[in-house]
Amino acid sequence: MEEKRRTDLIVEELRRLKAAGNADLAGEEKATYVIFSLHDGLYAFEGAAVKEILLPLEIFPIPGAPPAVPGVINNRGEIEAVISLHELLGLPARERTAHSRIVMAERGGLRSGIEVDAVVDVAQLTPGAIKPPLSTLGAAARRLVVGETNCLNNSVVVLDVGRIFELLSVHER
Amino acid sequence: MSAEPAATVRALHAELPLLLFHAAGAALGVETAAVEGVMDADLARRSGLVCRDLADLLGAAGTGMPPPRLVLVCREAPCGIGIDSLDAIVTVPTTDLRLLPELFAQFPGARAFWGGIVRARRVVLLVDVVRLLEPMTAFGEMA
Repeated sequence: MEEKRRTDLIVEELRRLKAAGNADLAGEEKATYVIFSLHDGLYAFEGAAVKEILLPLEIFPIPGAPPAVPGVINNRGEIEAVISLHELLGLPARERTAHSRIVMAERGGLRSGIEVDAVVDVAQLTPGAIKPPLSTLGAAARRLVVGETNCLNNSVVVLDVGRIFELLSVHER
Repeated sequence: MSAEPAATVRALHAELPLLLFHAAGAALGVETAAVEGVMDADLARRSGLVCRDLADLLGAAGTGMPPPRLVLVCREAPCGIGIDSLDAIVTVPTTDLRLLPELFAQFPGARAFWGGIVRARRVVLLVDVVRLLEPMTAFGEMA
């Protein structure tokens, strides 16, 4: 009987490892994430929380509302709140451009628009691909962050819509 | 055929007269029934009417806005509320009234707003004058 060559053994081992890896991946369900840019970074929301993405609309100010809520919009006849992520994350304010969007998000019975600089991509990610956030993030951002992942050859910070709403509610009580 | 619930039908068909104005950098409105009249701010001051700036009442003061030029004289409180300009008196069907986003219910600063309308694609927020002046009356500031 012909003895197995060393290279054959290596190939077999590689195949076994690959099959095991695929099995792991197949066992982990992928979720959709909406990736957007804000200042110089990339961020993402879980797709399940995103209801629609709107072109820039006029924001009507609400006197007395916190700075992180610049006002309300007329979304096809309905009045919706808008949240400034720049303000919440402590980023410098940025002028609106043709790429700016309002992401309509919903979580825990609350619904609001969230201003972003641009929607970059919609990607399928496994929850395992999201790693704990880096300590380099500011304290304000860390409260809202689920974790970080790599997408489009860049680091993407995954934010939790529910925590954003929660922070606004708690902050103002 | 069963009888129509008259009160409900009336409520659904009701119209609401609103006084629309600008103050604190926003387009706002109040029920005309809550307002006794509108006065020039200087005249109101000279006549001794206690006036509060709407921006102050909403906690939005200090944003570099000019002092109010007009005063809404309230029917249910012996005071006036300073505003910037009057826009219109309109009557809107109650079916055109919109609820404010749930998120706003959680901001104490926004509790004086009870709803809104969309007029010419612009959002106008509706103010409850009594609720706006609640802290004043509650702490006897008007005395």
